[in-house]
Amino acid sequence: MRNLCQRLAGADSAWRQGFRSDQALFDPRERREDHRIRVQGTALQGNFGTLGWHMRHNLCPSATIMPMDQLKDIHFDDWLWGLPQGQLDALELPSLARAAVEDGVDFPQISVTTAIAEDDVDPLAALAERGIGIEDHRPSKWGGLLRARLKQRRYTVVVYGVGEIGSGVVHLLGSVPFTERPWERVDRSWLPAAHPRLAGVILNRADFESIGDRLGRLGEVHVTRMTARVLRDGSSYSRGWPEVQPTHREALSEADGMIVNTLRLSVGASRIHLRRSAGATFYEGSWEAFVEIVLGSLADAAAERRRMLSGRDRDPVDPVSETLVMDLQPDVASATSTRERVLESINALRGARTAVLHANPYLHVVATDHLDGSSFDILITDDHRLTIIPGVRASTGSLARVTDAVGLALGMDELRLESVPEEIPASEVFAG
Amino acid sequence: MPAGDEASKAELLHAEYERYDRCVDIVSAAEVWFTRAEGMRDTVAHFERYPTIETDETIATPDFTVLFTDGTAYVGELSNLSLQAASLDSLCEQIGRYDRLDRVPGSGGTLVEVSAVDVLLFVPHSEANSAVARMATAIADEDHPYSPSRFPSVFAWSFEATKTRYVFTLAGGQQNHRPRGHERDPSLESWMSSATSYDTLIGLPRHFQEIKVASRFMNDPTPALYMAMLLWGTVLPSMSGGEGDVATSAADLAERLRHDYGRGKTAEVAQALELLRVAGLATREGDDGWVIAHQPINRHEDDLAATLIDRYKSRPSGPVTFAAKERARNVRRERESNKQLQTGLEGQ
Repeated sequence: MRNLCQRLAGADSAWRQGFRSDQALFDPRERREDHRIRVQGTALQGNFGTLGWHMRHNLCPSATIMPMDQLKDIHFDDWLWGLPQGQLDALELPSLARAAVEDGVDFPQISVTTAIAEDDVDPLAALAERGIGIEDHRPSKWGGLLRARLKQRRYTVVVYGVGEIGSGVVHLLGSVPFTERPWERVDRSWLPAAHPRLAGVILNRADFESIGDRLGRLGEVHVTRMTARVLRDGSSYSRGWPEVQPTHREALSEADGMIVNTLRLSVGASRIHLRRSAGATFYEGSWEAFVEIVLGSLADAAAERRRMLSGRDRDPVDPVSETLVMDLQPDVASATSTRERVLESINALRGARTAVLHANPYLHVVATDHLDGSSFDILITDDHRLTIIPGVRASTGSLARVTDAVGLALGMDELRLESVPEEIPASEVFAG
Repeated sequence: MPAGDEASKAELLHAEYERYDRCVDIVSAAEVWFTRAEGMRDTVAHFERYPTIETDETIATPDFTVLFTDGTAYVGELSNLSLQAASLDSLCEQIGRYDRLDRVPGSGGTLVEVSAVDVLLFVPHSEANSAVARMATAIADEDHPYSPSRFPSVFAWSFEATKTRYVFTLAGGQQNHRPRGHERDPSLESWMSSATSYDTLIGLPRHFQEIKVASRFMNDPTPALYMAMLLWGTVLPSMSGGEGDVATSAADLAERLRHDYGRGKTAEVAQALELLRVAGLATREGDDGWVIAHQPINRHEDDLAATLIDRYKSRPSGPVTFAAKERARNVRRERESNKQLQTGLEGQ
């Protein structure tokens, strides 16, 4: 029986690591269902049945059964860093799990952060240039690898350009759990250090809904935990469903008046964590489906955001015809603290400063990004909206980081591009 | 300069800054009425935000002009009338000239002859009725030179914070009246006489925000602090790429302002650069040149204007430009290195 101890690629290690490194996210009581894919010991017969069900339903197209005694004693990060250049260049994201398992390497849980890059920026070089703790980097055809160190711990981060390098959307992936310091460094230190050439992306509720809908192809989507922020008073909200779990749309409908920060989903054998700051974690299940659906959705959201924020420099010859708009809750728009929140969020950014032309309730601020010389006018007017009007110089990355900072401070649900109407109703010039 | 004078100068700088910004808002609100409001925009041939009207007799620079398709015009002026007689005399002299205008700017910058001109005067609410009464007295006084063909239309303006809007009401006084509409439909006259207007119009920031951001100025002289904020916050960063020494001249910066915002005066830019010099952020180079050490200011209030005032008051000393700071650092390093060498030699 010992030799029959087998595993499903991308499942078992996540199960084990989940307890070790991500206790806040994984409650063992919610994991009973996972026994179906823990293929070992006396449960072997039943588990083969479950495995067969998954494979019949094509939920685990990359599933590879690997006898335990054939596993190499090498960590995924070290395996990745040590790949020959040809093999590294040939590696494709969907086949990452299969490649690891075929090499006898345990495929771990994977943290992902998606970012946008300025035109013609090499994300790998931009990160390697200023990222604290990055010891080395290896370019590849699709991006490359970063080798970093935090105290005694060495880890590898994949920098994966979506499409051509320089096309502007990049996934950062690694085996470090996102709650641990090495990954916090990726999100909170490396990316800000590469501003504005690289910038993060914020998901809105529609993005969460869309990802959930697309995951529905794999089976019924259930939410096991949701965290959010209540817009009214800034308090936090966290709810878990250990027994009867709602669908993603049912869970999201409970979050009216809130900004959803994270969703933990289960669909079929897959366990996935989604984060508002365009991030996700693959815990177990089908890696290929995760890449196609979750990373595909994150890339779509990032590409859409990049399109919205690119080429926004104001042409002095023409009137302003489009502005960036975020809706605010009425009590947020009129709150006396809003001015401070807007100003503090921008001034907290490296190299960003503000000038106030008009204070609340009609707020008019000029924001300057000294990292690349971009500037923007930010206004809150009578209609509970915050409007951003890019200046004569306004880079994509700078717009992204300023809109993200203000959006996080004020609880933005959606940023959109809006046409300036050529004509206003005459009734709106009367006092009424 | 004594400390008290410094403080009052700083307060004055900020008061001018705020007042000017409000005036930019008001001109922008008027621009919305005449260029974007349904119906009204079809009656307007040209709205000029920065008019200069040069005739044989005079040069007039009102705060805006409106040329209507029927060949008539409005000339708009914003005033902060003080209680002093000289202030009234100055205003009357100014709008008296506007009353005699027979042409206003059309599209393409050419002056177009007009058959009738109405002068629109915008005065802060608390001063509006007084302005009407004092102008009426001046007109009645045969010894006073102000004798317009028609009493100006005086609007009292205020900002209504609870509704986030500017409010413009026809000021009281028998002599005051709505501007003529010359049977255009709509017109300010028809708007103000409508059942829902009660001689009151509004200006919503959400309507004029794009206009304000693209224009930035009004036709009165730009206060030094406002200009310095604009240069530091938008113009210089685009030249420096974020931070660094920017070598330029007041004339070049004025040219850039004209390109970006439609208006830029060398003398006003020079005043702003002088403010930055006192604030330890710029230095003169040659007769016309300036080097501005553009950067994010480290000890920064959330408001750049407040930061510039603080620096203006404290008058920081020491090297200003990045290049000068680097030179000073090198001199310091060399001195320390020599000192260490000397100490080493003495030790031997």
